[in-house]
Amino acid sequence: MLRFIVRRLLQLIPTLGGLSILLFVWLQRLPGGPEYALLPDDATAEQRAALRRSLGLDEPLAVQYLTFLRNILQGDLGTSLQTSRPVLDEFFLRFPATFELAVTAMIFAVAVGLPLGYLAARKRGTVLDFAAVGGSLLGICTPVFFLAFILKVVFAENLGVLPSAFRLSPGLSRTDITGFVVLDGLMTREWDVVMDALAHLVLPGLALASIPLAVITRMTRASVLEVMGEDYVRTANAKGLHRTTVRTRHVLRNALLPVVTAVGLLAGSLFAGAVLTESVFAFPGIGSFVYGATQTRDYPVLTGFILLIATMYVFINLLVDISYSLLDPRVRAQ
Amino acid sequence: MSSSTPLLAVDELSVVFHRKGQNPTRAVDGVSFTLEEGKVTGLVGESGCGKSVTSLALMGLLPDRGVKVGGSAVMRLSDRGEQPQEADLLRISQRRMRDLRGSQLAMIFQDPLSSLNPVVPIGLQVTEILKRHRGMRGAAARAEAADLLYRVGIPDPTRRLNEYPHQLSGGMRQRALIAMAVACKPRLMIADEPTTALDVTIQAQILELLKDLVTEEGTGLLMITHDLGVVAGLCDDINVLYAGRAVETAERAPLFSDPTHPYTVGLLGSIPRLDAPRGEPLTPVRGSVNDNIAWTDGCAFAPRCDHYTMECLQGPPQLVEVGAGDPGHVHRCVNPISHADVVDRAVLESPAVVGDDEEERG
Amino acid sequence: MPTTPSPNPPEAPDTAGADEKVPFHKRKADKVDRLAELMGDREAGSHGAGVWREAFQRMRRSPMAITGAVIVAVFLVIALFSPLIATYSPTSQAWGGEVFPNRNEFVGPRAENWLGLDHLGRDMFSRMVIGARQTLLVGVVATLVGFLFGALLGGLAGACSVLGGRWGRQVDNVVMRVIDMMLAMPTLLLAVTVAALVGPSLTTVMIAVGIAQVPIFARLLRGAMISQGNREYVLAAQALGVRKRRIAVTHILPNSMGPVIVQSTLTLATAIIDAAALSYLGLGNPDASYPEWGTMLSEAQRFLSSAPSLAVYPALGIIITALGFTLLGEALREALDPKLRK
Repeated sequence: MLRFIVRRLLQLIPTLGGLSILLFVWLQRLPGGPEYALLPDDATAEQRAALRRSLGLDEPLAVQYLTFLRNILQGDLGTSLQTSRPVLDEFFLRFPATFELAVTAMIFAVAVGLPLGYLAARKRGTVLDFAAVGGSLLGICTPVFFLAFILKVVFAENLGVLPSAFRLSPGLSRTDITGFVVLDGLMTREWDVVMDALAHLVLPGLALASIPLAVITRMTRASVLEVMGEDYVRTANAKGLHRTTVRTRHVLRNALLPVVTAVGLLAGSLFAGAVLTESVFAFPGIGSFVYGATQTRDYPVLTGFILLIATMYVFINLLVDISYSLLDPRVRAQ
Repeated sequence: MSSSTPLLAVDELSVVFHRKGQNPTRAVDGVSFTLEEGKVTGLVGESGCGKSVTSLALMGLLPDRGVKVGGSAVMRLSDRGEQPQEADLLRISQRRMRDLRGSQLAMIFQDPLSSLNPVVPIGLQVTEILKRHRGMRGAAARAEAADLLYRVGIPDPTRRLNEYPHQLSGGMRQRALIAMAVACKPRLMIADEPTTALDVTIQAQILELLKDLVTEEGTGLLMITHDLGVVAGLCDDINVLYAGRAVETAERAPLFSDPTHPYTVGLLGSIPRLDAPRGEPLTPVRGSVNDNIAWTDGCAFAPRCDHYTMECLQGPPQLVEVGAGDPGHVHRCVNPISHADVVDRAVLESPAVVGDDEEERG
Repeated sequence: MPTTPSPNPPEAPDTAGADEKVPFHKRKADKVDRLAELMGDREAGSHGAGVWREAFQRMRRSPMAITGAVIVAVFLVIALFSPLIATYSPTSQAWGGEVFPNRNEFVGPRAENWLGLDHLGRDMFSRMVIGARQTLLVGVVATLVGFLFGALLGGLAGACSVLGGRWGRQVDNVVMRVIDMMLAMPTLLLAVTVAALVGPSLTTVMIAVGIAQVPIFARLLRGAMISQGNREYVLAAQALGVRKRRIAVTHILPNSMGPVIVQSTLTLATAIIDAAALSYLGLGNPDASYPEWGTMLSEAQRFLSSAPSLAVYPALGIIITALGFTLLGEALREALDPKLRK
């Protein structure tokens, strides 16, 4: 097991290294070079030359790349053009909000998608199955930002049952320990903060959950259907086992294997999906910051965040692979 | 063995599949046979003749929807020392069937790898049946499971309990499946092509194991196979199936010495023999099982038969006694190969004559 | 078996019974005719259909495929003939004087404007119809970009892995690392960055959405080619001395296209949705006057509470079209799936 993890970790090095090269080249390809992005349009030629020297842009490309890489490894991803603060700081400042949102969305998606997909498979061909399949296709085909707007208009503006923006109601005082609002609230027993934060998570969480929910429902359904036709399920039935034993130990245990992989990959994609949802709900996370960065062409933020999110994604993938190998003895053996 | 009623009496079993937008398919079309304790009954035929569907119907493992099962299959049950009672396997409730499966009747499947759950250790796959039907738990169940594996010839059974199916060899897997099938000493065991997926040397071992189980435990074994070698070595009574109906039923000796139905003759003729003269061609049954006609129109085998006449195509042939001196030997043929004709058969099937036949058709 | 030549002609078993008076050859012909007649009704054209033809047969019976095909067909007709269908110019603000967004005064459906007017007093129906064409263009070009580059990368990796021996597997390894890397980049962020880099335009959206699909196509084709490469017929071709390049191009590649074609259909749907998202993020066509459903939708968000129909029309357009392509793709996948074939 340990060897498996170490090997997978070593495999990450070329992936991440390649990613850094790609981003480096990307930065080089900025229109007119990075100094145009960093300086106002009316800067003089001397100012540009000075900036080029100070940024080390007159060095050979290889040297530049090594400097770039060294900076990354030291945690220096550059400075945001919007806020003039280090990109890494901006990321970690907003990470907890997006993390809470992603977890909420994933809980929605798994808690509804798994049972729904399983039931749809068991009741194949019924109205429930039809509704589950149709609903999930509709979920995949609806633009997330449109769904977010509909939720906002209906539940926040028309019905007024849920808040429509931000992480917390303005004026609510809270003790900040970790940056995770719900976690802090639980730790300090500020129940009003917890409830308020949860209420703020519902609508964006639902909007963000729409695609994972649809994917999980469909995957679970397809997987359960496939496993139900397997010979070993027939064997289990031939042994006269109770229906519940057959369904849990023999059907679900096998059917959930591919779903676990999907859940992992979807979790990784949520951080990117948050761009749309967060901007609709003015949720102060990574997503709305990236949205701001696209509007202002904040290149250091865009590239830095991509590198960080991709790194996270790669590590989530690793976790998925490890958990998969724990669940499936056939993979473990290899 | 002792009782007058057989262990299992299948009468006019029929299975019809109804698929959306298609004509119903009669997979099994009135099959009847009996099975005694300590005996082996064989169901023989090509794939698609309905033998596997028969076994699944008896086990109650056919899908719930789109299938209609008719006829009856009465099995004599032992209710743990009480009065023996009977149950029609095709009519009892699903709940009751679940109680019987694994304890009173068990099944061994064709492909041992796909028939074992890949993510559950062998041990648990054996103990779960002990827990279900014999109420055994924990260490006792594990000890019994190890003992079962040992009895079916798996070495080092205690270690095997923790292994997964992919870690066992093909023969081991089939042995493990047999261990599960015999775990509760069922009175009736159904083996559906248990050796098809195995190497020849392993096949012989598995057949030997099954034979021992039948003689030692007095289990009745329903053997489903296309392999006449298996039949010759194992079965007491044989039913040859074609397109969902029995075409010939006999005890082992008469079936192999005096086959009467052209299909049986064809099956036997397609086995290579060591004692045949060098250079003699094999005589396969031509065509495939898909080349048939509805039994209601005539003999389903007619399109592949070298002996069919106009009579064969006029209404369904009945199952009739072959003749005096051979009780229990029945066939479904209006134009059977009589003993005297066997000599002629060689002539009939000589290439020249077949070629002639073809010419006349064209 | 010892053979004794027999004087009996082959028809010997037939000679008994009522048939006696009929000449032999007549009887034989009769029984053959009768047999052919009985067998005739059982087989109606079930032989000789190729994989694709068989898939098509199955799709014709699937309600999912029919629904998808109808939606796609209607969409294609509207998109291709939009200038003929549109009743007015999509950019003409002819009714600008009747609409006052800041006073929440909008004009709904009426005889001359079937779907009402948008916030600048333009005819909604004409904008929807012309917008369909733009949407189709975005979807098709983005899918083509993803398909071409993805198939190139995946095909290279797959062919090298299957036929290139030791050296080929190295090439495959390198290509796969690149693909993994691209896969690690979140699709939408990747598109956003490309768009942010090149500047907002419809071309940007098409390229960005297409590039994001490259790794998916590449992985699919490579996977399919490797699984095909393990088949016996490839071994047979190699044993016959067919040149490797030829095996890859004429044997492996055509047999591996199934999943890729399915994915193309599905990608048309995702591309339309992703393009809408990029438009919403302000990376689409900066000239919003020329209609495209994604741009129309993001513009109309502002009036969602006062004039929901302005957003609902383009949203429905996107959803229904995407649904059509998805249904078609899924039905095609099911029809091609060997496991589901029966």
